[in-house]
Amino acid sequence: MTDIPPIEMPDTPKVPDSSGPEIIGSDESSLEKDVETTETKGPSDEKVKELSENTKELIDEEINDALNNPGEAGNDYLRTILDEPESNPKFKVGLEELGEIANINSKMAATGIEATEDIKTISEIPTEKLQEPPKIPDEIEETPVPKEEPMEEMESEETDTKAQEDTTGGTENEDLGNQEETPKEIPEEAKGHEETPKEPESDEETDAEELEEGNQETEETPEQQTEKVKDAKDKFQNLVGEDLNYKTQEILDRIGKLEMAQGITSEQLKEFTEGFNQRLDKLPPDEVSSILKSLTPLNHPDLETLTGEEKDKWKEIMKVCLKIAIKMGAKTLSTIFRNIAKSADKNDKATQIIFGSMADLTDFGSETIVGNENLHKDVLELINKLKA
Amino acid sequence: MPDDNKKTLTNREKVELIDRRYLEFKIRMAELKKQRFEAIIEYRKRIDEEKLKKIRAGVYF
Repeated sequence: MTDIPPIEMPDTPKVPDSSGPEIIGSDESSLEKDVETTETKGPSDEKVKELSENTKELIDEEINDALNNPGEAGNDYLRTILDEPESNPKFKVGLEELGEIANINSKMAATGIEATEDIKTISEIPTEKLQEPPKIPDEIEETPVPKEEPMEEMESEETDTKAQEDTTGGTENEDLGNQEETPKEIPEEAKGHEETPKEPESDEETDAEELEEGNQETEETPEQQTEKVKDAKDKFQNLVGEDLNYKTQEILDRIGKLEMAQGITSEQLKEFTEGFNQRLDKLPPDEVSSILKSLTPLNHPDLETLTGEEKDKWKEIMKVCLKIAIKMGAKTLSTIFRNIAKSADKNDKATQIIFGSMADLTDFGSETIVGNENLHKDVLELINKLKA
Repeated sequence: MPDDNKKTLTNREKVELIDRRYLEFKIRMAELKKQRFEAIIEYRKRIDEEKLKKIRAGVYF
């Protein structure tokens, strides 16, 4: 039995080299460094050409080594075998295996040629000019498209207001001034109601959260903010338009407060949501975040633990609060009518009488709805019943 | 190989493609070397079988 020399797999540790080709005659690390330092520009044409040439040389070298280098492990072992007397062609031993070895050698040569051609093709593809990424922040600053939209809307609203002023005359200009003040009453009252169900929070935590959210929002693009506001507005409008469920209606009926949250017309709803949206659109971007929280409080991260029935209950409370707020629009309107009546010209009896009557009627309507008792007390009672 | 539908490439894409193509070549060469080595081993077996045959026949030197 003849000794079989130890078998060593040729070049196996080198093969799956993911770091890419070695560069002959050039410092590979310097090429990588160059690529890194030109991240924004990308490698130069010369570097691509150099890489292409070096890679082709490496392929040729590897093929030549595999096929012709007597020191290569496979070749060395084959040469040892071929030195055996039994390898003499006259014995016709292992001709099939020798044919297979020759066939594989041909495949190796073909593989090298294909790879070289492919690399040549890649390097000859026309180079696409890169866009210039560093200018992106400037472009955003230069084209504040989303900022223009609210400005346009504000301008158009101002135009509308001016048009209304033109049609109503000078006396109503003062009333419009009053009208701007009247809505302030609602948020202050509503604020009092909103504070009741809130759980006490740590000031530090709240501040930290607000700061964190503020930071997150500053990272958002104006387009993302606009989209977020639109989404919140849609959710809010759906909530406002949604009917109270049977259970809530039953509770309200039992305590005699059903009318407080019922009988809202589609016109009232439309007016409310339109007015609300107009006010929202006028807000500066830095105030949008706080409004978003008010529009979708159920999405607040601190309320993630609310699930199922508990979440539905709070949703119903929100719906009731909103419906009462919309109802309060009647009260607001009565104040506006009364202001118009009061500020009318002494000789303009029609304006005084008609708007005075309208104010009385709407006042009456709102008084009937909310009752003559303390509104705060009524709402608290209602909310406590709903929460129970 | 690059996407035929794409008529242009950035230099960075070219570098990546060349790198990938070279890696593909290295993997293919490793496969072929392995196959060749297996074929050489088979050839060695045939030679050894012939030797054994001669030894058993008493004609091996």
